[in-house]
Amino acid sequence: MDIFDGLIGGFSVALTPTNILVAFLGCLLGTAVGVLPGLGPAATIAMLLPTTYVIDSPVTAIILMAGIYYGSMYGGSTTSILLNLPGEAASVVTCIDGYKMAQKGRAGAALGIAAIGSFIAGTVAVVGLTFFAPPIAEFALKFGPPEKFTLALVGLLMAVTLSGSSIIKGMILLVLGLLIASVGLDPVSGKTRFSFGVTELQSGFDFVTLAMGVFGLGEIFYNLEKTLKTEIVTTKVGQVFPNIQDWVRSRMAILRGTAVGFFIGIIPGGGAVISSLVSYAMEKKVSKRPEEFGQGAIEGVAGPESANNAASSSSFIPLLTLGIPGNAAIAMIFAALLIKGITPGPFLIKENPDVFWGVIASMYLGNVMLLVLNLPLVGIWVQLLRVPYRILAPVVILFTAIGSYSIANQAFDIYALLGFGVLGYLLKKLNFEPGPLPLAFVLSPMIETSLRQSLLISGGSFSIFVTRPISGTLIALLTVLIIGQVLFSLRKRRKS
Amino acid sequence: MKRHDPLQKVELAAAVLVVALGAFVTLYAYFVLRLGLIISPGAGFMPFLLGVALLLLGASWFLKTLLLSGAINTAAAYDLTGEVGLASGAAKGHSGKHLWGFLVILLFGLLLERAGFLVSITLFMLVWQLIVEKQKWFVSIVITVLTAGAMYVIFRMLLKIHLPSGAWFS
Amino acid sequence: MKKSYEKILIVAGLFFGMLLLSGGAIASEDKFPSKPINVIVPFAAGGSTDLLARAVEKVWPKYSSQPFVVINRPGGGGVTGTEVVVRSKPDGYTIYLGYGSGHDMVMPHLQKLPYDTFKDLVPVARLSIHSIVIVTGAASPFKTLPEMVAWAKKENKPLTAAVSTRAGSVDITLTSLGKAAGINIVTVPFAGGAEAVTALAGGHLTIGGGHPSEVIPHIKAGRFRALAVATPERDPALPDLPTMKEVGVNIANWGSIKGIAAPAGTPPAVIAYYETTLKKVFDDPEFKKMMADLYQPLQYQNAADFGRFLREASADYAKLIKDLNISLK
Repeated sequence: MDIFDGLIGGFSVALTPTNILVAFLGCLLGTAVGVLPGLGPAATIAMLLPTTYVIDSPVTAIILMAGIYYGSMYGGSTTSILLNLPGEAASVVTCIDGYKMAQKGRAGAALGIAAIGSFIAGTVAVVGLTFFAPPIAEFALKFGPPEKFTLALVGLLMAVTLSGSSIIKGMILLVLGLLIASVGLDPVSGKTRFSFGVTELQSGFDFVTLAMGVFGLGEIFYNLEKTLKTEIVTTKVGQVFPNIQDWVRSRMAILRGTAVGFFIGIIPGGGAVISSLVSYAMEKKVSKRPEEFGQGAIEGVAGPESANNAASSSSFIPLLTLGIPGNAAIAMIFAALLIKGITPGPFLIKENPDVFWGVIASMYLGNVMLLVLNLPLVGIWVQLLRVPYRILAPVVILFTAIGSYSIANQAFDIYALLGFGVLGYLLKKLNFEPGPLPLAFVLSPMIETSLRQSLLISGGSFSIFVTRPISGTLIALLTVLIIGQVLFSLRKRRKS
Repeated sequence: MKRHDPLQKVELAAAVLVVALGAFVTLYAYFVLRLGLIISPGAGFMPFLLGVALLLLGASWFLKTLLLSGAINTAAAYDLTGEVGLASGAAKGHSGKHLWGFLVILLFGLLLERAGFLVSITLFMLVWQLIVEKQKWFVSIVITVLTAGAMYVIFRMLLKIHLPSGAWFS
Repeated sequence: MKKSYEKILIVAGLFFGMLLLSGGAIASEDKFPSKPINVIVPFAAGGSTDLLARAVEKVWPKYSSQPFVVINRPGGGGVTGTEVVVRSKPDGYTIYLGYGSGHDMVMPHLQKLPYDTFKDLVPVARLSIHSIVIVTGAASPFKTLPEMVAWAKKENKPLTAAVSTRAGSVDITLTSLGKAAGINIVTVPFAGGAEAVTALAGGHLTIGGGHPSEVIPHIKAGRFRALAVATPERDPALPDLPTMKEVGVNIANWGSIKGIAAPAGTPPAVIAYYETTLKKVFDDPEFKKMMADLYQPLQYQNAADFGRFLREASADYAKLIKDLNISLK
């Protein structure tokens, strides 16, 4: 069979000593940038791009960059769990239950299940990529502006489920997130909004600054105020690996997360974020203990972490089969390949089978490497919690401040970070779960531009969202979900 | 746990703030950004909807806090974290460290481009240990040298991130 | 509390001490360039401008002692990144690649920008001109531009068109095509060429415009059909494709010009350094090969010629926008 021949050919490329070494370096570097707050895969690949020019073989270059990319997805959960510091949008959800677990001395279990879930999800997604890439890529193309709008709407409503007890507070954060995202140049009309003459505001805020401020810095301010002797957080480390019960609770969550991540991850733009949200909401729905979510439920880590890893693998599908880069990091890989004279797209598999299969084979390899690399690291990361808070806190602040600064090389972003830190601190005081804020921020451009694009296409008719099959189905699904939720809470209220 | 009045007052104030923000956004979107046509929605279209939503949500938060004060379920919700937000801070008396922390970060932002990366992180760590955490001189200097050195190695040598070397020195 | 004031004083003293110490070593001004050059590309990675910058980045070290570091700063259709350059120090270490794109030539005639394209930037050299290829999905009922116009008139409904940004060169080309041909073309802006092409490939819009490096792979894959190219002459990458003028639509067209600019006030010696080094890059066989692979024509012009060329193009766009009465909705 073609696929097996191809895969064998791919492994013969990926298993050369150079490529194994490069894949390992990529995974290592990826894990490192994933762990460091404020440095994303896109920024790292951008920095490394000139280095890849001197690598002659395009396969080796892409193996390096792919390693960084999915390695950073593995590493991204680490700071979310340990320090309540999401490095990228897809790990915001992980903060909610992961950090709670860490506070209860279960950081090891959370990190362990995240690594194992990521490995399973990554591997299953690569198998999917191997066998079904072309038909799935066609499916991704079906997502035009109306579909993206309804999908982002689904994501937003899922984000409200993160808000815990108060729906009103969740909704306020959602609207606030959308609003903060609208600061700067409006992509559709080209007008500037809410900048009030401040130059730095014209380019708007960056996600990393917002998320690190609201989560990480807000948490630090809160902790600093609370205690005269800051010995908190760093108390219990607990057992390092997940136990049997954790595993039993998580295994279905991992599988469901994988499936969700694989399919939603294909859709260009925002796929990984939405998949982690959908996975979290789904786990909360099917769980027998929904009240534990938000208080350190391991499924709330296992599901979303699996989903975002599956999504990072499946986001290669549109690139490799259609020549369409789905996010900023993949776009960097796309550019690097073009410079090397290789055009990703429908002809890649015929014209450069060594590149196509070599990358896929290296992804199988990379997942194993990442597991081997990350499981022992769990033990080391957990030790990080033993670092006294008086040292940990300023170091974390410096990392976030430098991360924010390096986004655009402007001090303004440090002040923005500080502002968001104050906001995060106030939210914590007022018992808000901050999750919906950064998530709405990420989804905002998708919601707004695709809404306005859809209306331009339809000539102002909202029927475009209902009459198209995928979008119509999503709307129907949403309606059923909302009605179901309303009925459910009504019945619950009557009972009590 | 009994509900404390200060928290309710803060919540009400926050709700009023949300309403005010909503009103501002609504007006700004309507008059400055413009709504556009439904065929071609303008820059103010989405902000207008968001402003109205904030108005409504802020108002309902206000009413809910006012009406449900003392109700069992809200009190329970606050109990989950084991804290009662502001109330506990007021009771224990806060450490003031968060205010110092805020100032030190602000100072770091002001210094970074002027004094450069290395000087700024060194000062930040030193000030943090001495003033925010009130450590002894010796301990502070040791911690500062170690952490600032490690960061210099990570950012400059390993990651080679382009960071300011300081306008004052060039 | 008293103790901490004492500490603040000591820290302040220490700080100024360090300042004096390091200030003593006055850095001597070396020959340009003495540190890496930051090249701002105001568009996303993987787009046609980014690829051009990457090609230069790759060959540049052969002819210069310092690297040419490409930094993508997308947003606002190119305005965000350009503004970064305008506001940076005019020492030659921050330059702008993409000078002459739609937001420089077209946007100023439609809305106020935070800077002046001609006063705040100085031209360094022209590198290439990316033509605008008008394409349609393979399943659409028309095969040529005249057929498209006839079809739109017969159906009498708006033709939706995917464009990379609002008020960019692709947007102006398709809008003016609609006005000149007397049909209603509704341009739908996306966040860059790649996204616009993706939406068109999914069949969500009827037509679209893109640069050769963005659309040729899809034309080859049979997903798109090319209708015309919007440049005065045929594009060497698509020799069989007629120009708009050839099929009877006579509107001003300059394609998307891609040059390098520096902030106003950059020393002439630095500009001259760039001119000569870029010329060497242009004569490099590896660079020529790469540009051909990327479907980008080599169109070098020195600073003086490039400046004149840009003013001419800008004036032409201004006239076009006035004649056809185009405005931002």
